[in-house]
Amino acid sequence: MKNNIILATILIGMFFSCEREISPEQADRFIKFYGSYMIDEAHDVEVLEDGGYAICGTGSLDGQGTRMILIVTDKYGNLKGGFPKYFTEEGLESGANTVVPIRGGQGGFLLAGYVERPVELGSEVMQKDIFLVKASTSGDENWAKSYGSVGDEVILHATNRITSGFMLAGFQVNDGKSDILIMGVEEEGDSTKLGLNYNNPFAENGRASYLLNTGDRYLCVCTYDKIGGAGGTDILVLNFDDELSPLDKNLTGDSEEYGTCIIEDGDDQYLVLGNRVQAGITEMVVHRIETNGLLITKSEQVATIPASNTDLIGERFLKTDDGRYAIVGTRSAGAAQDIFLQFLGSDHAASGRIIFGGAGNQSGADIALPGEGGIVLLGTSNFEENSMISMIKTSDTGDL
Amino acid sequence: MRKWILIFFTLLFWHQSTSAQDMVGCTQLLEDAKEAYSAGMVELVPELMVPCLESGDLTGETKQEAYKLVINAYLFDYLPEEADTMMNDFLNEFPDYRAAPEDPAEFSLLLDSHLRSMGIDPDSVLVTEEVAEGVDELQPVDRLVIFRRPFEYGNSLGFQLGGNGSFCQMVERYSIGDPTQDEGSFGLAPGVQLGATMNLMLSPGIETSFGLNLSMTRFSYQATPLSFTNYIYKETQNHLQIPASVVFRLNPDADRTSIYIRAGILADYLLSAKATGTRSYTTSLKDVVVENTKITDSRARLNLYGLLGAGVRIPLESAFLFFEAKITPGIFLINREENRYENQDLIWLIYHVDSDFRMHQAGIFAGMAWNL
Repeated sequence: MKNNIILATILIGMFFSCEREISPEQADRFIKFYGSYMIDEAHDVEVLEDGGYAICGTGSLDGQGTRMILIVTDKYGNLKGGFPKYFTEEGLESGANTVVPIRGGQGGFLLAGYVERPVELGSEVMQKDIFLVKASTSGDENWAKSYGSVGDEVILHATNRITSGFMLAGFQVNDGKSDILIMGVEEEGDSTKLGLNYNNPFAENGRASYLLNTGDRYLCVCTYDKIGGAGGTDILVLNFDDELSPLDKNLTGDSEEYGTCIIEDGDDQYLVLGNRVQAGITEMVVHRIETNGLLITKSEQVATIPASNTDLIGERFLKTDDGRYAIVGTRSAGAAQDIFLQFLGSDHAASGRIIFGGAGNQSGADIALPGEGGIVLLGTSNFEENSMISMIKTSDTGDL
Repeated sequence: MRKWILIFFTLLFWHQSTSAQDMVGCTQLLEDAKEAYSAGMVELVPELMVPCLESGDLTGETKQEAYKLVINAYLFDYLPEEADTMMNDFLNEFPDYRAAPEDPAEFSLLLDSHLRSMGIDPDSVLVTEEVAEGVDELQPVDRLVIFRRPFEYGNSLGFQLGGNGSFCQMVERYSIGDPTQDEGSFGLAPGVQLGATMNLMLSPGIETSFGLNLSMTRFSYQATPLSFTNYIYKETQNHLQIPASVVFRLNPDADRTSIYIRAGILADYLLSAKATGTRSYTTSLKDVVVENTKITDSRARLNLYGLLGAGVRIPLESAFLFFEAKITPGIFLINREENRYENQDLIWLIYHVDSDFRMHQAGIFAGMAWNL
C-alpha cells in the first residue's frame, strides 16, 4: 500500500511538473526572428556543416546606424552564443548582402556588402564602397577590406573561387549609371589583378546578381540594360573562369526582365530565375540554358509564373531532393507584402504556392536546403517602425 | 418486586434459551416474549427471539410477529442501530409487508423509511389490470411512485453556476526566439460555467452524476521572445462539457447537510477559441496589438479531463442547494501541434507561437437540484 502511494505520488508529480527539453522536432519546423527594435534586413542564408545556419544582412545599432550583421544559429534556429555580430569600418554605416561559409562554417565566414562613407572629409554626400569582412567561427573579425571609387560599389553575391579566395558580384555606379561589377579577392581579401567591368554604354540599372561556381567556371546572372537606350533591362548570363574573360548570353527578347538567381539542373544545364515586368505587373520567369565549356549553346524560356493583379518577385530558387524546384520571393498586392514559396514541378510547371506573413509587410530574400530535410526561407518582416530578420523552416512540402 | 420478576424471567429465559429452544419451542418463546414486552421488560425480548429468528424455527406469520416484536423492543429500548439492522432482515424476508394500523407509530416510521431507501413508496399498492380476453394470467403492474420525504436525497436534477480558473501547464516551450530564454509563463484568468446536472442514487451513500456544461475559460501567456520586446497573450475558449462522476456522501445517515466528494472524468468539446495579443517594446515604439483573432483551429477540439470535487448539500423541501469546489486536470495537450504556426498575425506581429501545454481548471460552483 505504501509503495502504491509513493508510486502514485511520483506519477502525479511527473504529470504536473515535467517540462520537456527542446525536442528534436523543433528543428523540423520553426519561425524565428532576429534583430533589434529598429530596422534590420535579411539578405542571405547558408546551411552550415553542423546543421546550423549563417545569416547575413543589415542590422541596426542604437544610435550608430546600420551595420553588417552576421547571425549564426544552431539547427533549431536559435542563436549561438555571442551572436549576432556587427561589423563596420571606422564606425561607418555598412551592410552585408552575402555570406560565404568557409569549409561549411568550420573555417569562418566571408561577409560581403558595402560600407558607406562621405565622398570627402566633412561632406554629407555619401558613397558606397565594397566592404568585405572575414569572421572566425565564433564571429570575431579576422580581417576587413574595402574597395571603391568616388562612385558606389556594392557586392550583391559571392562564392568561393575555383582556385582560392572569393569571387564577388555586384554593381558599380558612375554618374548615376549602374553597371555590372565582378571581381575576385584572395583568401586574405586582397584584390586579384583581374577584374570585370562589363561596360555597357547604355547602362542604367545593370548589376551582377548571383554567382554560381560550377567547379571549373562561373555562371553569373546579371541585369543588363537594353542596347540602344530604349530603356528596360534584359537577363544576361556571363560564363567565365578565373581569367574573368566572359562569354555571355542575353536571355530576354523584347520584354523587360531582370535576373536574380541561377542553379544547376543537370550536366551543363542550368536554370535562371528572373522577373518580368509586363503591363505594370511583375511575374516570375525561368529560363534554361545549356553550356559547352565557356559557351552558352542554348537558351529557352521554360516557365512564367504570374498572379492576377499581384506582383510576384522571385529572389532565389533551388532544386529540391525530389526533383522539384522551390522559389522564394515577395508577393505584393496593393500595399501588402508577403513571403511566398512557389513550387515548380520537374516539368517546370507551377505546382503550388504557399504564403507566409500576417499584417505588416514580409519580403522573401533567400532559400536553402538543410541537410536533414525541409526548406529554409529567409526574409524581412516589417511592421510600422520596426523590421526584423525572419527565418522559416518548413517541411519538404512547405508546411509549417 | 419488579426486580425479582426481572430476575425470575432472566433466569427462566436464560434457561430456556440455553437449553435449546426446541425443548420448549420457539412458538412458546414468542408467547413468553410477548409477556415480557407487555410487562415492560423489553430488553429480554431480543434474547428470547433472536436465536429463534436465526435458527429458522419460526415461519410465516409467527416469524413476522417475532420480527416485529424484536424491532419494537429495540425501538422501545432506544437501540436504533439494532432496530435498523433487524428491519433490514425483516424486509429481506417480508418485502411486501406494509405498515398496518395496529403497528406502533415508531415501527411504521422505521419501516417506511427503509422502504423509501429501497426506492419503494410505502403507500404504493400492487394492482392488477384486466388484460385482453384470451390471456390467461393477470399481469401485475407496478405503479410505484417514488416519494421522498422532505430533507431526504434521492435522484435529482438541477443546475449549477460558477466561476473557474484555468491553470496551464507547460509541456514543451516554443518561441520565435530562443525558447530557453524567452521567460514565457502562463497566467490565471477567471472564467464562468453554467450547466445542468443529474444525480442518480446507487445506494444511500453513493450516486452517479452526469451533466452538461457550457464553460468559458480564459488564460494568459506572457513572454519576452527577444530582448527588446515582450508580449501578453490572452485567450478565451468556449467549451461544451459532459462530466460523468461518482459522488460519495461522507455522511449518508445525516438527515440534513450532506458532505460529499466526487471523482470522475469530463469530456470536453471546444466550441470556439479566440485570442488577443499586445506586444510592447522596451523603447518608446508604440505597442503592436492584435484583437480577437480566431484560433479555434489551433486548439484540440476534443479533450478529456479528470474530475475531482468536494461539496456540501443543504436540503430544502424536495430539493437541495449545493456548493462545490472542483478541479479538472487536463489529460491531453490543448494546442494542436500541426497548427502551431496557423495564425499568421499572432506570429508575425505579436511574436507568439504556441508552446505545448495542458490546461487544468479549478472552480467553485453553486446550484440547486430537485428530487425526482
